[in-house]
Amino acid sequence: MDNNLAPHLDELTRALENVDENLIKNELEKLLSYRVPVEEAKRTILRKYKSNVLYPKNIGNLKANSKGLEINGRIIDIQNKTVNVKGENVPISSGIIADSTGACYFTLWEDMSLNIGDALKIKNAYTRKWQNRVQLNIGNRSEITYLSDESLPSVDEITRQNKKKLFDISFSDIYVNSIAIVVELYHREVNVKNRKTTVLEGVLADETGKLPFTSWTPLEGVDIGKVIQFEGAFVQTFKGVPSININESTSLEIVDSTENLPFTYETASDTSKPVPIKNILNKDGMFEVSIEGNIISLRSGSGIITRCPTCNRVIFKNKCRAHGTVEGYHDMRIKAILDDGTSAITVILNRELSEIVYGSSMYEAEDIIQNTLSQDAVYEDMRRRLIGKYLGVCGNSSNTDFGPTLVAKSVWVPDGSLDDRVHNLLKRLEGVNYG
Amino acid sequence: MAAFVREVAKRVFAQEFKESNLMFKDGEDQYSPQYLLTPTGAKVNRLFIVGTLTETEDIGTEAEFLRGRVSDPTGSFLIYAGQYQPEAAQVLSECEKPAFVAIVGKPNTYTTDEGDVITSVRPESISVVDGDTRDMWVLEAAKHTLNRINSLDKDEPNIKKVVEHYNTDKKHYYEMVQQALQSLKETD
Repeated sequence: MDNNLAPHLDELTRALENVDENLIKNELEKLLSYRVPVEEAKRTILRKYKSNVLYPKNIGNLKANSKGLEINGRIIDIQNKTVNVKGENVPISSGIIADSTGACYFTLWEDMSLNIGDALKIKNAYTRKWQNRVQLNIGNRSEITYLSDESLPSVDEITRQNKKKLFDISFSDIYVNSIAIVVELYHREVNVKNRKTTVLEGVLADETGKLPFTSWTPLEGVDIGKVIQFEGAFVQTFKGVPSININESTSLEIVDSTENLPFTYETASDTSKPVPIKNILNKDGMFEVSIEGNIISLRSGSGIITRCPTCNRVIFKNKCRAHGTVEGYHDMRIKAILDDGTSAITVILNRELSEIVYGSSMYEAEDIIQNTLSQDAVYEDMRRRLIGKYLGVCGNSSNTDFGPTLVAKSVWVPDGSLDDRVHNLLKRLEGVNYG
Repeated sequence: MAAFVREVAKRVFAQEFKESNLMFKDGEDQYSPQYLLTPTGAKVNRLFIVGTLTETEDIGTEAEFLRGRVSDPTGSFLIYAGQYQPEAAQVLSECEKPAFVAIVGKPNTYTTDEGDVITSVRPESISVVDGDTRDMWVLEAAKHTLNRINSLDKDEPNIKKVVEHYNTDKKHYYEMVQQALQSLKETD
């Protein structure tokens, strides 16, 4: 090896302690032989291996698409099945593994009989995202060893330990305990395996937020305005936001003494208080959350659009990608970037809300197109009228590959109380220690 | 979670922006974003300002190159728009002065021969807004600035960099915020 490379190699091995030195050396030499400048080659190697460092993780902090993970956990649910891989039936197991920080779905791609309650150390596992959740994959390169039983909390403790406020509940939770007030409630008949069952659906709220819930068992005495405390409820995803599922194994009781709770029916059902956008971006999805900010950009696709009459997809030149040539119908929408100084999010407004925010009806907007003979005219006009405007929005947010998005249910102009707010800020200034 | 996060638009008063001169790159890559660190610790890659457009001047020699001045309660921002910002340049040249405008843009710095750093804004968009929007902006900018001043004691790398570089005089910026808020009361 060229002596000139030694200091660079040194630097790399120090930065990537857990990566094999020979591997780094080979990689570096290979890049250099492909005429990559040495500084760029170093950066490439750092980027490639930085995430690959093997270190122990808590299940609660697992992120999607990491590899080389080492975790300690207890199996709290497991099912064995066979799947067809390239024409061969392969036995796999899937279930839930948990530690004191959280729980996570896993798939074991090996024929190994594990049981509920097993305490395990798993080395060299990796994670993927599956149905909005982080899933742990244990493959043939992973190493599984048994731990002593007392090294982890018991199955029962794990499923009952996860006490959270509604705001903090996310897809990474599987079982959850909380205390909340029912602010909406409906009965719905569904067919389950040809049997009619009544399910309860509604919305729970506390001082931190709201979440939808479903109960598969009748809840005696539960009604709007009642405070319930539940343990071991199941977290699922419903239209991109977490939802609480209550079934036979959930323990639930109605709380009668509500004086000491940090919320009341009025405060919990009120969603008008805006949340900093930054706080929403940390979450995969949120239910009925309010934000206020400035429209700082309008995304293309705002304005008058044409949809397929069969599938409602947005179409161009009356060609639907699923239904061929169709007679499309007009719709109006706004995709605005709302920014409140903490972060930015795409807000999607349907026709009704777009008409309110834009200040013109869809028919008036169609006239603009007729008069200017330009499809972009409405988009241009919207940009002129809306960019810079203050807007308050309430709706469900999601954070997907398309970027953080909030689908609006209601909008308002955050105007008034300017004097009050000026006064409050001046008060804050009086209190500061000058100097 | 999505890998790409849009750069947030920071609210900074003209005076603080003018007194900023610390640019830094987040990461070593050639394409890492550039930021301007202001004396109260705003990490600015994008700005949102609302103020009064008081004057514009074409300073281009061949192609049109417009310089606009946008005033807020604490000072004024310089806005430069040329052929690569055609929409913004059009608004700058066509709108009547004075006018309330909302500007989304990127911070730019220029070092003079004497070594002074001049900050300016390269607009992504400029639109004409009403006086209420302008007053709300002053309020929001005051709130954000106040929060930043109060966080200057935090033990974060960027904050440390700021304090080391500017040796920020908190009182100076508290007074700026107060002056801005006071101006809102006087307009009533």
